[in-house]
Amino acid sequence: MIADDLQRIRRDFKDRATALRNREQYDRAIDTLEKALHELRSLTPEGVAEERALRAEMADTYGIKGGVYRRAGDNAHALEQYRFGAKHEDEDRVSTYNIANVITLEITSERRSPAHPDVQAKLARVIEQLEADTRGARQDEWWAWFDLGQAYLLSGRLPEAQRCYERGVSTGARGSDVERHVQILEELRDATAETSPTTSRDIEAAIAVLRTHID
Amino acid sequence: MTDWWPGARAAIAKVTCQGPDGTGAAFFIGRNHFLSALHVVADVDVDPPAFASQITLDLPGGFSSIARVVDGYWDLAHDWVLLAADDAPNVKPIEPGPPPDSRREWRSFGFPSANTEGAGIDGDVTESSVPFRGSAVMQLYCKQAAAGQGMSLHGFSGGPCMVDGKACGILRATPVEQIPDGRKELRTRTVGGLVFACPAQGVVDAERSSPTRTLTGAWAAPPDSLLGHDFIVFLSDSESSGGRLRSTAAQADRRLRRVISSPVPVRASDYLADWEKLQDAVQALCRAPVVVFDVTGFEPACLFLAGIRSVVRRGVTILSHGGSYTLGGELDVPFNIADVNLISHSAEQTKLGRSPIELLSRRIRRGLQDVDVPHYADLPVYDAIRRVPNDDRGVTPKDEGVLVLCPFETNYTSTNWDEQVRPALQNELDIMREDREKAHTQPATLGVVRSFDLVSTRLVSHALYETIRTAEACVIDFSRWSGSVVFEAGVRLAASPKGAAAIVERGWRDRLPERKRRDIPQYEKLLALFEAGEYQPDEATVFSDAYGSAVSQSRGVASGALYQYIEKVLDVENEPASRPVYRELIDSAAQFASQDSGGGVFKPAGLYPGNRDLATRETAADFDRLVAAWLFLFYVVGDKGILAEAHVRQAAKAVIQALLGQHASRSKKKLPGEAYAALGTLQDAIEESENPS
Repeated sequence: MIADDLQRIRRDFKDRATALRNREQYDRAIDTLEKALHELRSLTPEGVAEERALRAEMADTYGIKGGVYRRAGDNAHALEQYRFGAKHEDEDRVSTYNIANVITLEITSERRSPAHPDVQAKLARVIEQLEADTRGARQDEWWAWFDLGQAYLLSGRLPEAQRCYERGVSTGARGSDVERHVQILEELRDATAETSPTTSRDIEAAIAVLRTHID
Repeated sequence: MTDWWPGARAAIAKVTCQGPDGTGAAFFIGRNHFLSALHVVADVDVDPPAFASQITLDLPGGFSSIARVVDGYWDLAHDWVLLAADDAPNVKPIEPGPPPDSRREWRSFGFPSANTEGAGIDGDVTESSVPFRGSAVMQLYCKQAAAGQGMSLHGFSGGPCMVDGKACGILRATPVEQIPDGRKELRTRTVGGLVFACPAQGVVDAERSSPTRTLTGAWAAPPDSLLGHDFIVFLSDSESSGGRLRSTAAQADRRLRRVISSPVPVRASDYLADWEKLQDAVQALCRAPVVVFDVTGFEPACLFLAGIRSVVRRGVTILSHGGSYTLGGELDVPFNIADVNLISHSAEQTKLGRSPIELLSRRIRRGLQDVDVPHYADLPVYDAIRRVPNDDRGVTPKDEGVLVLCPFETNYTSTNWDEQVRPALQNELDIMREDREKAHTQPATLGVVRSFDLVSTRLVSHALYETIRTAEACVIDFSRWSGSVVFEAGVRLAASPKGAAAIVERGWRDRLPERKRRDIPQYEKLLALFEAGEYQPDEATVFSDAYGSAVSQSRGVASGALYQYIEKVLDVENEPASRPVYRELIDSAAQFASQDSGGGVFKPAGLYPGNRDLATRETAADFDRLVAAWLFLFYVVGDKGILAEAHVRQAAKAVIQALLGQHASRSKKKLPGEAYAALGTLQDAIEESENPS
């Protein structure tokens, strides 16, 4: 049974790393997350459920690690970590956290167009999963609605995106949550201004509505 | 009727001995142990018995092993022996059964010369106990041994006498005679189909009195004391010999080894035998983190002990029902525990996909995770009886009334309550109030009341438990043996220093429905413990003894002694007052925090997440409580205090990580500089203390 180990690793490493990241101690945060990954790799899951739980934790840890690099301004390493995480996510389709960040960084950092076939394939995978998730267990999560809204925006589906943002706001997104998401959309808007002007205009339209929900 | 037989037959081994030579049967009882008759493996005509130089056990499924006699585990007078095989078979152990009633059907299997591959025999129990060669044995009638000229039962000795799937005895002897056959050769014949068997209970008793513990599973002796055991399973009488819950708990143990020690199964009714036994159980109820009650048939012993448990410990308490009950099925559950999330350990439940082993192990694991959450409750009572409003905590004196714990069934109400109990107790109350030097001019505040009569705007259960705690006078009428009343009796004795007086209608046995008659021994034990008085129409003495002005109302364990005992042995560390304030604040904060499941999966905190104002307040509520916890830790406990003890360190770490994690920007804005700076310093110090370089 690895449930207790997963809980311990989350408490001892991942939560600690998040706090260190917020203290801007990025090297220590990365070091802590590498220890977490080492511990996770040493576990021996029994049965399919435990294997899935372990993959989810691996994906989450890579996601946090990507977030630390991103906060530190190292987008190349951030993208690398999100891609590792996305591989773990892809197997069970339990989360879209890493793949969504991969899409964002490919557009904002690598200046890919949302119309690029690779990006479109990833967006299709995210939309497929989040449409299912928001009909089921994640229908009460603003984060899932916002991620789906963002994926619709990048796929040229503004009306669906607006509906998702409305649902996200009514599902408990606070002003600070909306503000953080708007910051990401602003980066995407700026990055797509040249590569996909239509997308950029759609994003701006969504931002205008979302700003009304920032306290 | 005999679904169990193929499984039992698979556990019956052929015994082959050399030096002296002999054959017989033995049956698997768990681990690598087999039971047989002593005379199968030893020459018992010499003193001490001469054991065979080699013993081989062969099971029908192909298992074969050399075995030896376990030192000290044999009995010449009762003719049984315990064998330990070099290897353990992969078959289900046969469990012991109680001595069977006359005329019950029995079966066995052995290896007679007529068919050395094995043959079955069966018949009826003639006498459950007759004297035989200085000991008591069961006398059986065997159809095969009685047929024709009487089949020889040589090769069956040591086999189990199986009744309802349990080994009630070990076949040991038959009266025989030798008569010439057609070839004029003498043949041994069984006389009259008679077979004698040593009671299996004798083996259990021997284990109980042995200085060492050898047997396992259902053959194991209960511990001398329950104190110190963390996981106790109180079995019902109907299940204690059968052991579905026992085996379920043993299997669950394999999934729970990292979270709790092994279960200790004991028969609940044994702990009603006397005050000393009850004290042992009560101490365990106060201290064991996990207790499972087998509520099959809602037997009184388990309900009474569950009532005590519900008052004395906020631990993990699980009620499990056997019989034919499955989750969600219909069950006539006593009122007080109607909200309890029962599980099932029935055979039917196994067929429905979610096995009892899974149910029990998951429930315990989850309970141990949740038990620290504020107001965790898997039984009623604990909080209701402690959180009595300040103004209502005083004792309600006996001249203001009496709480009567009694059934509510219509027949009882019309014949007992309306006609006898209420008028008699009301008369006692009136006399009490008139006898005072200064007679009462106001009506009694409590009166003669049952639970549903209580004047309160609060939930019936809350008002009841509050009154159970505060009423000086309490009379328990056990007539009709309502499960709720027995549960409440446990609650009262655990919660009130004034105890209770117990009464019961004369001729109560005759009024019991058939399904409750098997519980009569338990009822009698409870009545003896309470020293209950019997009442009948036109007989007032018992009521004045129970609730008169001149007498001390309580007797026996109900005198308040149980309450006083609990006061001494209570696990103070587990009481709400022992929880540090920062722990309360952390737990309170968690109620307002979004659940972060990782991977970007966040669940909203509150009931109305679409209300932005409420969501903001919830975030603030989470933050404010964490800040309060941190300020207490920082200014009162201090850094040395935080680092000194692991549980304080863990709490501080959780607070720091939350304040520097999801609340990082708020913490920076709102915490005083010194307290904010200390977050990082202490985080590093804790890390250093846990991982010294």
